[in-house]
Amino acid sequence: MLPPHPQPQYCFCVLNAPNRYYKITPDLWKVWMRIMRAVPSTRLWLIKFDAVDGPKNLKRECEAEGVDFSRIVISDMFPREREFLIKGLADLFLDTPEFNAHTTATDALWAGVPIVSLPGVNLAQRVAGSLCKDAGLSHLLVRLALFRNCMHVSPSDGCTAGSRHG
Amino acid sequence: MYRPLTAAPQARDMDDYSSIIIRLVTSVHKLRAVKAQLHAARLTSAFDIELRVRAHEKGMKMAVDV
Repeated sequence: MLPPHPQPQYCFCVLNAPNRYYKITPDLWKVWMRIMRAVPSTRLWLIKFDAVDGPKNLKRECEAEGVDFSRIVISDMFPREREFLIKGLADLFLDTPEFNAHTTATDALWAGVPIVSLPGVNLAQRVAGSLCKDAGLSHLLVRLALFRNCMHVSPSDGCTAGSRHG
Repeated sequence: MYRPLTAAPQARDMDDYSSIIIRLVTSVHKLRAVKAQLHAARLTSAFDIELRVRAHEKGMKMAVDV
């Protein structure tokens, strides 16, 4: 049995987005920065990947948005045996709409961290939403008006969910 | 078969999307409730297994320990 999960802190919200950097689109970055400007107690927690210029570019874009880069925490990968305990310290997992978190979304849920996701039109953009729904967190999914999102896709429907937008 | 996400809030655009997240982030009680819900669920091994099985059923490639 896993140890008790830490409670979210009242004045310090850790936004977790441990996805690869190519999933962070300029539009999404602006969303994250807007959140951080609006809620000064938040920290954005990312994972360090192989991209050499990743942190440098993030710093530049962070400063361009008027957010102190010290509020962005970039961690190394965690040892497998402690991974879930560490990830469980986050308060909210921010999904990447362009290409959802897949394994990392499952890990977040297993670590007890709620996910907020914006389901899109193809399978890669709906995986996290599907996981949220299965975990009983449909209320944390956000529908974008443009897509009129529906969540349940039967096996026979495959990836055709995108045809239902408009 | 498609079921609409009736419980989900609807965002007009990305600005609205960020506003929804801001409301969530500043609603600590709501976050606490959701974390407690997840914590209770994960105490049963079925939670993890169920998630992965359902994901596989939908044809998603869920890498486990790779």
